[in-house]
Amino acid sequence: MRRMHTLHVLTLLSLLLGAALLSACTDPPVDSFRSEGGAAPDPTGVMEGTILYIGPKPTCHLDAATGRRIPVGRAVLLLFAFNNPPPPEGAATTALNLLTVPGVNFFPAESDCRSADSPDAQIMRSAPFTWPEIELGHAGHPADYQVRGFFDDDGDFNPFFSATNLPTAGDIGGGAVVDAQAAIPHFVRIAFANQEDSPNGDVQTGVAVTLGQPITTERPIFSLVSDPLDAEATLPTTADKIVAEGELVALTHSHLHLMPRNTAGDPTETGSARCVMLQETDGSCTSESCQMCMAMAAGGIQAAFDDVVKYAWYVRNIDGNGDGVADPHPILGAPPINIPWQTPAVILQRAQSRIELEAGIPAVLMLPAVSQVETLFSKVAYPDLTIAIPPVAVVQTHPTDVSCRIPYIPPNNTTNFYEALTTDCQELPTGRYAVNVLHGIAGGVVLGNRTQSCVPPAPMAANPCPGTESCVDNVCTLISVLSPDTGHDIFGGLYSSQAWSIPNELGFMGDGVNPRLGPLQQIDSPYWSSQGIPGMFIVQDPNPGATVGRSDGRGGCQQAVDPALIAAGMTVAEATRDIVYPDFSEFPIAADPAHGVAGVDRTPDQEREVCCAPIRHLCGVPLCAAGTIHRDPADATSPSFNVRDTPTSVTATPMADGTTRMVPNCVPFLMPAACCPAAI
Amino acid sequence: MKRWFLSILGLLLVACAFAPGIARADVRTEARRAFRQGMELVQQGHIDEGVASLERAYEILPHPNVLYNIARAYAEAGRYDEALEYFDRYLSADPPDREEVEGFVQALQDRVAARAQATQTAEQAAAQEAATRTTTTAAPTEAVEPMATDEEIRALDDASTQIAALAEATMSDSLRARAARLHDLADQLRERRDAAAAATAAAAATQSHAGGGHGQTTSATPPEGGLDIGAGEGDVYAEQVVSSSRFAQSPLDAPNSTTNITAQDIHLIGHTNVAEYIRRVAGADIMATSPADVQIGMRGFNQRLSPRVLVLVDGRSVYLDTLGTTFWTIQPFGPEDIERIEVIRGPASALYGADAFSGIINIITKDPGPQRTDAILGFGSASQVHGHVSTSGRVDRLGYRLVAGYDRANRFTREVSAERESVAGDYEQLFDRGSVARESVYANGRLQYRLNQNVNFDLQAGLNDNQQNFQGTGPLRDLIARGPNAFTMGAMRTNWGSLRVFWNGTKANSGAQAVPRGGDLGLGRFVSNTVDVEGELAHEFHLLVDHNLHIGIDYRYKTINWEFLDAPHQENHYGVYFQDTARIVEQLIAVASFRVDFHPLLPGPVFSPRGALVFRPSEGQAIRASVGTAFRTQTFLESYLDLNVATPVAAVTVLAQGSEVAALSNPDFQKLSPENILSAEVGYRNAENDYFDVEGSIYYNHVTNTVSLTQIQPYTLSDFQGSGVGYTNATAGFPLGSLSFQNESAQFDVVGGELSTRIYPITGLDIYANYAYNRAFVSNSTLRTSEERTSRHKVNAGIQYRSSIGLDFGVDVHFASHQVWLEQVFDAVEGVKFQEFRLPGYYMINARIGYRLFDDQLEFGLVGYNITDNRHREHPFGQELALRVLGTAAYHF
Repeated sequence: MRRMHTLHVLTLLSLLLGAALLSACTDPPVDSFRSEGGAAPDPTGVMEGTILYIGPKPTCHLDAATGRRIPVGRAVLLLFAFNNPPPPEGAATTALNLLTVPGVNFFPAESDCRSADSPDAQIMRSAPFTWPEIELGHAGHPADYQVRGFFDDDGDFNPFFSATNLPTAGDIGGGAVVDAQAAIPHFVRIAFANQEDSPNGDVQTGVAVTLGQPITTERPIFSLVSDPLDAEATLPTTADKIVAEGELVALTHSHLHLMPRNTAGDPTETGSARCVMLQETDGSCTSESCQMCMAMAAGGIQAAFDDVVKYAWYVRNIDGNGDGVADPHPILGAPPINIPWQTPAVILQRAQSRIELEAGIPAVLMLPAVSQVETLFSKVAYPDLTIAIPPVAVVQTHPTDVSCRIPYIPPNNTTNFYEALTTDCQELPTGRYAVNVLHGIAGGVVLGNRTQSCVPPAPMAANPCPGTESCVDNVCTLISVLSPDTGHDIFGGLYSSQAWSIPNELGFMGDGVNPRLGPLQQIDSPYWSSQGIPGMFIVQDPNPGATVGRSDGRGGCQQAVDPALIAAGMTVAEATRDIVYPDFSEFPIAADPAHGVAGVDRTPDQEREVCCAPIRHLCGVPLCAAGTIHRDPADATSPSFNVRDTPTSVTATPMADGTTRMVPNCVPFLMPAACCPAAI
Repeated sequence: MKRWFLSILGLLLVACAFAPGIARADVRTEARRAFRQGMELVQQGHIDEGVASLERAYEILPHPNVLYNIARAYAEAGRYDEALEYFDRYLSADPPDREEVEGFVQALQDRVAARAQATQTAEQAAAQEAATRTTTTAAPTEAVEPMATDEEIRALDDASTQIAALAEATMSDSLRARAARLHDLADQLRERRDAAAAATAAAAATQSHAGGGHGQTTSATPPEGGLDIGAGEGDVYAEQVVSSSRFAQSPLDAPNSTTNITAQDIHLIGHTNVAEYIRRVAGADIMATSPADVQIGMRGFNQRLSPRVLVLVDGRSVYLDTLGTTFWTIQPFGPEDIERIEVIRGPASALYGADAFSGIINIITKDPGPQRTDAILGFGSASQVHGHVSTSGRVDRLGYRLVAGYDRANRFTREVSAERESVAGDYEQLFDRGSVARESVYANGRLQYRLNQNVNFDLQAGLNDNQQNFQGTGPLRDLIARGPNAFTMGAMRTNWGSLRVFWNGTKANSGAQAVPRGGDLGLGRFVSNTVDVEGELAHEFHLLVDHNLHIGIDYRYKTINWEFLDAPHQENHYGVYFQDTARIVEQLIAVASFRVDFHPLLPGPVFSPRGALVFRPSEGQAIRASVGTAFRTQTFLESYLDLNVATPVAAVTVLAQGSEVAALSNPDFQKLSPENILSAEVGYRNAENDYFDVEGSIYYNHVTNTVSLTQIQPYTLSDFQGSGVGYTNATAGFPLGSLSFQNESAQFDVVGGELSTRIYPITGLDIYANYAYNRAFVSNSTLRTSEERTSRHKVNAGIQYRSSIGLDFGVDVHFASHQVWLEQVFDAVEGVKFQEFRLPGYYMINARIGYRLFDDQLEFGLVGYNITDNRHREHPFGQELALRVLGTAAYHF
C-alpha cells in the first residue's frame, strides 16, 4: 500500500513539474481598445524640467498645519500650441493644459519669505516640474507647444473664473524661452511625437522655464458700448489712414469703458470695505461697479477699481518682430488702410448655442483695432478706449488649426481684399459677439536705444552693460519703463500675456458651463448686465431676405473695383473686373512659413482636406431663417435687430467616410465656398 | 488551438456517450435513486439486495444517514453484527442523535451477548439434554432475553425527550417519529424488565415450588418487534436550502426562487474564481472585468461595484460595507472547500436586512469531520497557479478541517504597456502593477464541537493575504489593492436557536494601475472591520395550524479608516426580525416575514415585509407567489468620500464627496435615502421526476432611489472663499467642482423571468439550460432614458458527464445580449459627464476534462475558460476576456 502511495505521489509530482514548465510566466498583452473611452488610455506626453524664479521674495503666510511660514502662491504654467499662443501672436482663448508647482517647492525655508525689513529683496530659486498627460500629435497635426507662465505671488489665480484666471499685479511672468535675456521673448518649441509613432508616449526633458518679469496691472473690468454692425458693411477705401480709421470707428461707434472710479473712501481698506467707495451717497450699492466690486470681494478678489495704476488701459504698439515699428493690424494693416496693431488687442467672437457647438458650426472672429485717433498723442488712455470694428469676419473652419481661417468680406469691397488670401465674399455672420481684450501692457517691455554689443550674463552674474542697460540679444539695451500719464512707471510681462479680460465668456449663450472654455475657464454667476448677453456686440442684417455673397450665385461678388486700375486713372466702371478668388490650391504655402502647421508644410489638397473636413457635413444645409433679437433679451422693449436664427436641432447622420456627424437643421450663415464648392 | 480543443471535446463526447456508466453526472440524483431503491427492497424483506443498493448510494455520495438505514435494516433482520458495524460507522460521523444510537448499539450488543449466552446455554442444555436424555424426559425450554438496566432506560428516555425537542425545532417529522419510537422502546424495555423480573420471581417461585432441577434454555429467535430502532431519514438525498428561510427546507417549500450549485458542479467546472460558478444561474448577472474582479448582480442593476447582492459564507456576511460590494478573491477559501452555493433570487431584506436587495448568495463550506486529506495543484496559461490542500477529521466530538491555498492569475490584458514612458511606476514595490490580477495565499481552519445532543459549537478563522485588480467607481478605474483579509466566527447552535458572532477585517493598500507620470498615484490605505452579533430563537408550535417561528436580532458594528474618506468612521446597525412559516394545510404553506432595521444615517427605522404562499399540488411540485420589499443603505464610500480626483489637466481636480460630507457644504446635494425595491414574483417548480427538473418564474420589480454619481457641480467664486475649497499644495491643483452621490429621481419598473431545466437522460449525463429575460422601463429620470446595463436576454446551457472509465467532462455555454452602460467620464470640454457605452452581446464557453486514476485517488484535469477565445468585455472599462487554460492534478490521500 505504501509502495502504491509512493508511486502515485511520484507520478503526480512529475506531471505537475511538466505542467509547471508548460506554464511559463507570460506577460499580458496590452489592450488596444480605445473606442468609446474604453479600457486603454491613449499614450500621452510628459514634459519635465525646471522652473527658475528670479524676483522678489515671495509673500508668505502662516500655515496652520505646520506652524511655519510658507509661500502663499505657486508657479502657474500654461501650455499653448506653438502656432496658436494667446493674442496678439495667436488666437488661443484658453491654455491647452495647466500645471502648478506649489510655492513651497521653490521656497522651502522660512528665510526665503518676504519680510517687512527688506520688502524688495530679490531671490533666485528653482523647482523641478513634471507635466503629465500632454496630448501627443496626430497625422498632420504635430504636437508642438510653447510654455508661458507666472508665479502667482498673491495666490489669487484661479483658472475657472474670468475674474481670476489672469496674472495680476505682483505676479512674476515668464515662460520657456530661447533666451531669457532677450527683450523680445522667443518661446521654445517643445515638440512631442505623434501618437501613432509613439505608442508608449513621449517624454520631453530638460525644459527650462524662467519666471522673472514683474507684472504690474490687474485685470481690467469694462463694458462695451457700441452700435450694431451691418452684415453687409464695407471697408473704407480712403487712402488717408486716419480718415479711414475714422470711417471704421463710425461704423460701430464702439468704446471700451472701464468701470467708473470713485476715489472716495479709504484706499487702505480691503475686501468689501473697499467697495464702500463705490456705494451711493445713501450707502446703497446699486451701481453695477459697486455690485461687481462686492461680488468680487466675496470671491476673494481685491477689486480696487480706484487704483489708477492697476486699473487702466495702457495702449502700446505691438512689435512682434522687434524691429521697433508697430506691426500692422492683421486685417486692417494692409493697404490702403494701413492701421497698426496695438494693445489692448480686442477680439470679438460670435456667440454660439450648445446646438451649434454640437453641430460643429465654425467659430467666427472679428478683430477690432484700438483707435489711433485717440491714442496718437497719449501713452495711456482711460477710462474709455475707442475701438474700430472692421466688417471682416474670420471663419475658423478647423477648431484649432490657425491656418484654417477664412475671412468673410461683404460685397462691394475692392478686389485686393478678396484676392489677398483664401477669402469668401459673404455677408458677415450675424449674431451676438462676445468681447475679448488682451491687455498687452502687462506683457510688454519697452525697448530703448541700443548702444553696444555684449554677451548675456549668466544668471546672477554681473551685468556686462553700463548703467541701467541690460544685455538683450547681444546688445546693451536700455530697458526703459513706460511712463504713462498715471505718473507711475510700468514694467510689463510680455511672457505672461495677461489676457482674457473679457466680461463675456467668449460668446457662449447657454446657461451653465461654457463647453468651449473647457474645464479651465468656467463661468461664475450671476451675470452683470454689461458683462452678460446684453453687453455683447451685435452684427445684424438689415436686409435678411437677400443673402448676398458668392455662395448664392448673385453677381455682387463676382466683380469688384480694382484700386490699382483706379490709381491708373480708370473710372470705377472701367476698373471693375472679375475677382480672382484664391483657393487652397493657390495658397502660397511655401512662401508663407507662418501658414500651415509649423514644421510640416502641407500640399494644397492636404490643406483643403484638413481645413474643410470639420465643416463638410454642413455643406448644403439650408440657411436658417431670419429672426429678431433684442439688445436686452430680457427686455422686449429694448432695440431689436435682425439676425439669423440658430439651429434648433441636430441629427446624427452617417457620412460617406463611415463616420457619423451631427447635422443641424439649418446653418446660421453660409459655409465657405472654398469648402463647399457646389454652392458656388 | 480552438479546433484542436473542440475536436478532442467532440470525440470525448461520442466516446463517453457509449461508455457504460457507473454513476450519473448529478450524483445526488443518482444516489437518491439508489437509496430509494434500496429502501424499497429492504421493506420488501430483500435485505441483501436492499443493502447493496444502499451501499451503492453511499458510494456515489457518502451520507451518514445511509449507514444508519443499512444498520437498521440489518438490525431488524436480526443481523446484529452487521448492524453494529454500520452503526459504528454511523457514529464515527458524530451524528446529532449519537446518544439515541448508542442506546441502540448497547441494546444490540446486549442482544448479541444474550444471543451468545443463549447459544452457550442452549449448547450446554443440549449437552445436558444429551447427557440426560437417557435418563429423563426433556424439560420445555424458555427464551431468555437480555434485560436493560435502569440507567440505559433512563438514557433512552432522556434521548427521546431531547430528540422530541429537536424535532419540534426543526419541524422534522422523522425526528419526531424517532423520538416517539425511542420513547416506546424505553417503555418496552421497562415493561420487559418488569415482566422479566416478575417472571424470574415467578420462575423462582415455581422452581422453588417445583423443587427446581430444570435448566434454562434461550431462544435464538430474532426479537422481531422487540427492538424498535427508529426509521432513518426518509429522503437522505433530498435537496435542501437554508438561506431562503434561515432553516433547512426543501427548495420546493422556499419562499424564494432558489438554485443550488453543488460541490460536484464546482468540481466538474473547475474554475478557480468562485464567483464564476454563479454564471450558470438563471437571472444572475455576471460581470468579469479582470480575473480577480467578478461582480454579481441579480435581475438587473449591475454596476462596477455591485452592491445589491448579499453574499454570505456559512451565514457570515462578507459584504464589504465600505465599498458596497463583495470581492471574491480575498476570501480565505478555495472552490474545493465549498459544499454548495445557494443562490436566492429576489429581495430578502425581511430576513437579512440591508443590502439583500435583489438576491443572496450563501456559500456553504464543507463540514469538519470526515477523515479526508486532499491536495490539488495546477498550472496554466497566463501564469496561473492554483494550489490547495485540505485535511479534515474528528477527535471524539471535535471535528476539524484545515485548509491552505495559493492562487495566482495574470490580468487578461494590461491597460498600458510596461514600456510606456508616460506612466508612473513609482510604486512597483507595493504592487506588481504590470501583470498580476490576483494573487492570494490563504488558510482557514474550522472546529466543530458537539457538547451534547442539543448544543454544538462552531469556530472558524481564516486569513487571506492577497493582491487583486478591480474596477473602482466613477473616475477611479483599474485599481490594485494588496493586503490581508481575515475573519473569525464563533457560533453556538441549539435546538432552541442559535447565537453567532463574527469579525471580518480587511486591510489593504490600493492605487491605480496606470498613473500618468507625474500624476497622482492615488494611493490609499484601507482598514475596515466589522463585528456582527446575531441571535435567533426558533420554535415550532401548533396554534390552529403548525408554525415554525423564527425571531432574531442582529447587531453590526463597522469601522473604516481610509484616506479617501473625510475621517475615520464607525457605525452601529441594529435589526429585529421575525418569520413565521405556517402550514395551513398539507399542501399550502404561508410565510410571513418582517424586519425592522435601524441605520445611523437614516432618520427612521426601515421596514421590510415579505409574504409568500407556497402551494404543493404534489410532493414534487410547488407553485410559489411572493411579495416583498428590500433596501440598500449607503456605503461608507457613498457617505463619507472626500477625495480630490485627478483629471487629465494636471492642475485641475474634481472633489468627489460622499453625501454626508457634500450635504454639509453644498445645499444642492442631498443626503442619501436607501435604495428601495418592491418585488412580486410567481414561480413554479416541478421536481417530480428523477430525470428532469423544471423551474420557471416571472417577476415584477419596482425600484426607486437608486444611488448614482451626480453631475459635477462647478464651484462658484464665492465657494473658494472661506468654505475650505481651494488650491492645495498636496494635489497641486484647483478643484473644479464637486460631485457626490444622489438618489436618482428615476423609477424603474422591471419585468422579467427565468426558465430553467436540468435533465438526466442517461446514466452519467447531466444537461442543464436556462433562459432569463429582464427589461427595465424608466420613468421620471433626468439622467437616463433607458436602463440596459443588464442584458435583456441571457442563456446558459451545459452538460456534465462522468464516465465509468474515469473520464469526466463538463461544458458550460453562456450568452448575454447587448448592454448599454451609462458611465462617468472626463471630457476635455465639458469636464466630468455621463457617457453611454454600448457593449455588444457575447458568448462564452467554459469546459473541463478530468481523468481519474487509482480508484479516484489521483485525478488530472484540464480547465478551459472562454475556450473559443471569444474576446469580449463585460463592462466598457473591463479587460477583454480571453482564453485561459489550467491543468490540475489532484490527489486524495
